[in-house]
Amino acid sequence: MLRRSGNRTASPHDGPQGSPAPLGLAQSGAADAGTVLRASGISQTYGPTKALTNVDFALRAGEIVGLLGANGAGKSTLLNVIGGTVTPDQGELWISESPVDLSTYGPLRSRRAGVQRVFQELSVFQNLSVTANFSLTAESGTKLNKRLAQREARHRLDAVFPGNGISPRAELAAIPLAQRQMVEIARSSTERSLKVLILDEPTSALSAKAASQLGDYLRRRAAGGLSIIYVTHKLDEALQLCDRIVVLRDGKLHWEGDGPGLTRETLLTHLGAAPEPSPVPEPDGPAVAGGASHLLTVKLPGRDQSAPQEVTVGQGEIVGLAGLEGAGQRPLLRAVFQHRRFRRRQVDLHTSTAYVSGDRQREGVLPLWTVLENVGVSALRRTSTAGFVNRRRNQSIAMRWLEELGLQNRAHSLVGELSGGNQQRALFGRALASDAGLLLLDDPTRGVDAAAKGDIYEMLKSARADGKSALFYSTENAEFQQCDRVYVMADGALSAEFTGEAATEERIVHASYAAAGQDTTDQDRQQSYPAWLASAWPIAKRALRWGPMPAAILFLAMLGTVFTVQPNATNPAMLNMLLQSSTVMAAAAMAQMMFILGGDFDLGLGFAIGFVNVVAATLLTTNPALGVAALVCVVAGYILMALLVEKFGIPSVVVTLGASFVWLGLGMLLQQVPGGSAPKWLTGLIRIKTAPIPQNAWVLIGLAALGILIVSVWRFSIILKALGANRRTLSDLGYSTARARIILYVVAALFVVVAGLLVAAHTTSSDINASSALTLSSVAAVIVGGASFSGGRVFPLGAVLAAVGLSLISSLLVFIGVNSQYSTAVGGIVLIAVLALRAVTDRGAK
Amino acid sequence: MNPLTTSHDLVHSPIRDLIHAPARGAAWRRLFSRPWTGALVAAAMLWFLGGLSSGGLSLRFLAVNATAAGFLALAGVAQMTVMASGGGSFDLSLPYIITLSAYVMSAASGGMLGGNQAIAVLLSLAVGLGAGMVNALLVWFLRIPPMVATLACGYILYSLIVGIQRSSTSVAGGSLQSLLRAQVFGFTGALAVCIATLVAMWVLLRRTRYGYFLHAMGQNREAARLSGVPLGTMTLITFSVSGLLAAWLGVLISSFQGAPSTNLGTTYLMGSVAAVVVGGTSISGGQTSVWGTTLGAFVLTFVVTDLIVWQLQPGFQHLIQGLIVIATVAVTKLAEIRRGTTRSKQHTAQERGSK
Repeated sequence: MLRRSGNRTASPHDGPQGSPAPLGLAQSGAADAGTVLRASGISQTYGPTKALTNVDFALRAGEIVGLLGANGAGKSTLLNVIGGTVTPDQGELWISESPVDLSTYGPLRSRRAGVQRVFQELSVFQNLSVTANFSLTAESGTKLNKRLAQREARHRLDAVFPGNGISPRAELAAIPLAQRQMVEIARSSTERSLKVLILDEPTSALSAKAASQLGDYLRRRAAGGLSIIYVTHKLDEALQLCDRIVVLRDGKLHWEGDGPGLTRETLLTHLGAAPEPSPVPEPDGPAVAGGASHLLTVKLPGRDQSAPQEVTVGQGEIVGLAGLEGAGQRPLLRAVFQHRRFRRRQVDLHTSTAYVSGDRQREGVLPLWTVLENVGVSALRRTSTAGFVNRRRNQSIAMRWLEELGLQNRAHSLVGELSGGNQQRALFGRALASDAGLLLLDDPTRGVDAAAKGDIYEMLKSARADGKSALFYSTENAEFQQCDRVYVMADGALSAEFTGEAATEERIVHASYAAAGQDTTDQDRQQSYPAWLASAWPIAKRALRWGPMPAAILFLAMLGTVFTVQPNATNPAMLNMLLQSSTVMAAAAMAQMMFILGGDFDLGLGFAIGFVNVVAATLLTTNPALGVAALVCVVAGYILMALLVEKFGIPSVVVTLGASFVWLGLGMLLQQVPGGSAPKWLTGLIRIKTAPIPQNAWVLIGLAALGILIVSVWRFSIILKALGANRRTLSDLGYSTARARIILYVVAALFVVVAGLLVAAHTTSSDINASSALTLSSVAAVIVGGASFSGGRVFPLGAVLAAVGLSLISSLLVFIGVNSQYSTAVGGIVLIAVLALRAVTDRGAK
Repeated sequence: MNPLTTSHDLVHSPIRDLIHAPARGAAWRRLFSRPWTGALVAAAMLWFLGGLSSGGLSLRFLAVNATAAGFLALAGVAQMTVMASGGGSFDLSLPYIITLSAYVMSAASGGMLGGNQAIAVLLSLAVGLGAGMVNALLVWFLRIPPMVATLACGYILYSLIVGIQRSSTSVAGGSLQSLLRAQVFGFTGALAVCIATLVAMWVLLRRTRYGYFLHAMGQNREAARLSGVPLGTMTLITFSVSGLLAAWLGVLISSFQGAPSTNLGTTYLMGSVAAVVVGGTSISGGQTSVWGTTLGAFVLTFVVTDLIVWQLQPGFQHLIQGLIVIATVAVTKLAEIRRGTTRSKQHTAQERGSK
C-alpha cells in the first residue's frame, strides 16, 4: 500500500471543533490503485514560522480535492512544495507512485511530470497575444504554424469556456482581467500531458457564468481521470464541486472528509468559526463618543444595511481590520496613507500617519543603512532646521526608541544583518520615531517569532497609552485580541464590526466568509466597489493607443509637408535622395529596437555603426577577408555584452556606454582621419535602378519587413518578447534567458552592420564620429514608433515610419531655409509630445 | 568570515558588543575595504607612471591634470546625484546643459547684457536649473523613464546651442576668468572653485535632509515613500541639482578656456558616468561618494594624459577608458552578487554563527 491513510482526523489539541471526520479514505480501503500524487510528512519552516508541520496529502486519479484554510494555514506552502517552487525541510513526495528526488525537483520538473498550477497572481505574459501565451508552454510543433496555433488556442479556450468571445489574436493587456484569468485557466487545464491540476482561487475574477462553466469542465475532466486540487475561500463553491475537502489550520492537517453531504455550517466549524455564532452583545457605545472627535473616518460600503458603513478610529484606540487576505484591507490602509496626495472625500483624517509594512524586504528596510539610520529616517523632518539635519538629535531620538525595543546594541549593524523579528521591531521603532498620531499597520507581524510579536504588542499598548492610535490589519485572527475594536472586511466591503470582548476569532472567521457565499455578478461588484477604484475606458483614446499611430501620423504629416513645400520631391530620383538618410536611421532603429524589446538600451549604437563604417571604408576595401573578420568581431562584442548584462546583472546602459568608448577607440585606431572609400560592390549595390519606386524606399520596406519578421513571425519572437516583459516567469518556464538575450543582441549587431554599410555606401568614405547622433535618434524613433520602454513591446513598422518622419524634419527645415540642426529640437518635442499623449491615454485606461 | 565579528541576534551580551566594536588596528583594513580603494590605488599608479617619463612623481604632473579632473569630478557628482535616486536613473542631458550654459555665459558676459558677469553667471545657472526642472517634470508627471526624458530634453537643448552659437561668438573674460586662471604652485583657481563646489555637494548629500532622503529613496523607493519621503519633490530637487551643477561647470569651463565650442560638453556624457563607476559607487542607487567620484575623475584624466605622454594614438585613450569602465562595473557587480548571496544565506542568526 502506497497511500497512507492516517492523519486525516483532527489532532487532539485542535479544540472542540476538531471532531473526528467522516472518512472517505480509510473506508475506500484498497482502492488506491490510482494515487496520482502523494506527499507525506511535509514540514517547512520559514525562520521562526512553522508553515507546515508533518502534513500528509494524497490525491487519487479523477478526484477533486478542495484545499481550505484561513490565511497562513499553509495552503500556499503545500502547493509550492507540490509545484516544486519550495523544497521542504522534511517529507517525501510521490508522483504517479514513483518517489521524487526533492533536491532536484523544480517548477520545470513538476510541469514535465504533468503537474500544472494556475496561480492566484496571473503568470501570463501581458504583452503577448492569447495564442502566443498558449504556445509558450505548448510542445514545439504548434509554434511553427501560426494559423494552426491560433486554431488550437481557440479550441482550448472553447473547451473550458464555451462562447467566451475572446479573440486568440488579442493582446492580453488589451482584454479585461476576467478574460485574462480565463486564458490562464484554459492554458493550464488543457495541457496535453496534464495529470494534476492545481487551481488557486480560480474564480476570484470570473463572472458567475464563467465560474459555473469552469465547474462543469472540471467535473467532466475529473470523470475522465484528471486529478484536481482546488483552493478557494468560497465555501459554496467547494461544497458543490469537491469530492473531498482538506482543511489546513496553523500549518497542520486539521480535518479531511467527503465533500458531498457536508453542510456549510459544519465546514465553517472546521475552519474555526463558531458553530452558531452567539449574538453579538450590543456595543457599549464606541470608545470615543460622537463623530467629531474621530481622528479618522473612512466611508466604505457595507455588505448590507446592518453592516457598518464607515471605518472610524478615535484617539488612543487600536482598531483592527480583519477578513480574508485581499478583501480590501491593504488598499484601505494605502488610501489613508496617501489621502493628502489624492484628497479623496472618502477619507477624513485629522492627524499624521506612519506606515509599517510586514513586507520588510520590499516595503520596509533600507538595506544599505544601519539600524539606527533606518529608525531615524522618519524623524528627519522633526530634527532638521532649514534643511540641515541635526544629526545628534536625530540619533538620540532613534536611539531612545532602540533602547525601548532592546535593540540599542545593534544600532550600528546593517539592518539586513538582523533577524526578521528584530527588523520588524526596528521598523516599528521607525514609525514611533516619526511621532505620528495614527499608525497604519499592514500585517506587521508577518513571519515574526513569538517574542518579537509580544514586544510589538507591548509597544502598541504603550503607544496607545501615549494617546497614539492604530489601524491594524493582520492575516492572523488571533492578533485582533490586541484591538479595542475590529472591523471585518469581505470582498471589498465591510461585513461586521466587533467591540472588545465580542471580537472572538470565531465571529471574525464567520464574518470573513460572509460575502463569499452570495453570488454577486460582475455588475454588482462594480457598483459595490468604492467609486474611486472604478475607472472609465473612453473609446476615443483607444485609437490613439495603437502603438504605431503617432509614428504614422508623423510620417504622413512630414511627407505631406515636404511634398507641398517642394513639389519636385515627388520625382523618384529626388525622393530617393530625400529618403537616403532615413535608411541609415531606420537600420539603426531596428538595432535599437532589439535592445528595447529586451528592456535594454544601446548607448554605444552610434559609435558601433561608426566603427562598421570605418571597417567598410578601410579593411573591407583593401583586405575583404580581414574586413569580414572585423565585422564578425562586432557581433562577438555584442554577444559579450549580452553575457555581461545577463550573467552579471549590469545595466545595459552602463555596458553599452563603456562599449561606446571601445568602438570609438577602435575606429580611431583603424583610421586617424576621416576618409577612405567604399568597396565597389557596395556602391554598386545601392546604385541598382529600381524605378518607379525609389531604391531607398525598398531598403526601408525591407528593413521594416525584416523587423516584423523577427518580432512577430519568427519562431523565437514569442520568447524574445516574453524576455522583455517578464524575465523571471520566462526563466521559471524553463527557457534560457541568456540565450534569448544573446539572440536579441546578435540580431541588433547584424542591423548595426547593415547600418554601417549603408553609411559607407552613401558617403563612400568613413568618419567614426559621423554616426554618433544615431545613438539617441534611434531611441527616439523606436519610442515614437510605439515601443514601451519597459520592454517586450515594439513595433518595427512604427519605428521605421518614425525614423523616416524624424529624418524628414531636417530635410524640411533645409527646404524652408532653417539650419537643419534645429531638427533635433523638433525631434525632442515630437518625442515628448508622443510620450505625453501616451501618458494621458494610459492613465485613462488604467 | 571571522566568527568573532558576527554577533548573535537574540543574545545581547556586553562582552559580545565589546568584541563587535571595531578595534583600532582595523583602521587600515577598513581603508582597504572602501569602495573607492581601487580608484585610489589606480590613480596613484597612473600618477607614478605618468610622472616616470617626465621625471618621477611630479607635483607638476598632478597640477596639470587637476583642473581637468576637477571639471570631470563636478560632472560626475552631478550624474551621481541622479544615479543615487535609484530606478536606473541617468541624466543624459548633462553634456548639453554644460555646453548651453557655457554659451549663455560667453554670450551674456560678452556685451549682450553690458558685460555684467554676475548677471551672466546667474543667467547660465538659471538655464541649468530650468533644464533640470523640465527633466524632473517629464519624469514625475509623465512617468517617462529618466533616460528617455533627459534624452528628449537634451535634443531641445542641442538646438538652443546651435541657435545661440550663431548669434554670438564672443569670448568670455573678465574678473572670473582671471580668478580661475590664477595659479599657485601650478594649481589653478578653477581647481579651488571645483573643490569648494565638491565640498558644498558633500554637505548637501551628507548633512541635509535632502541628502538623507535621496539615499533612502535610492535604496528602496517603496520603503522610502512609506517612511514619509516625498518622492515627487525629491525628483524635482535631484534633477534641478544635477542641472545646476552642470550649468556651473559650463560657466567654469567657458570662463577658464575663454571660448566655448559646440562639443564642449560631449565628453562629459560618458565621462560623468565613468567617473562615478570607477570611483566605486554602486550603479543601483542609494549610494554616493563625492570623494570616490573625484578619485574616479582623476583616474580617467590621468589615463588620457599618460597615453599622451607615452605618445600612443588617441584611439587608445577611448579604448582603455571603455575597458576600464566595463571591467570596474563587472568587478563591483561580482562582489555585490557574492555579498548578496552570502547575506541571503545568512538571514538567520544561527546560520551566521555557524559560519
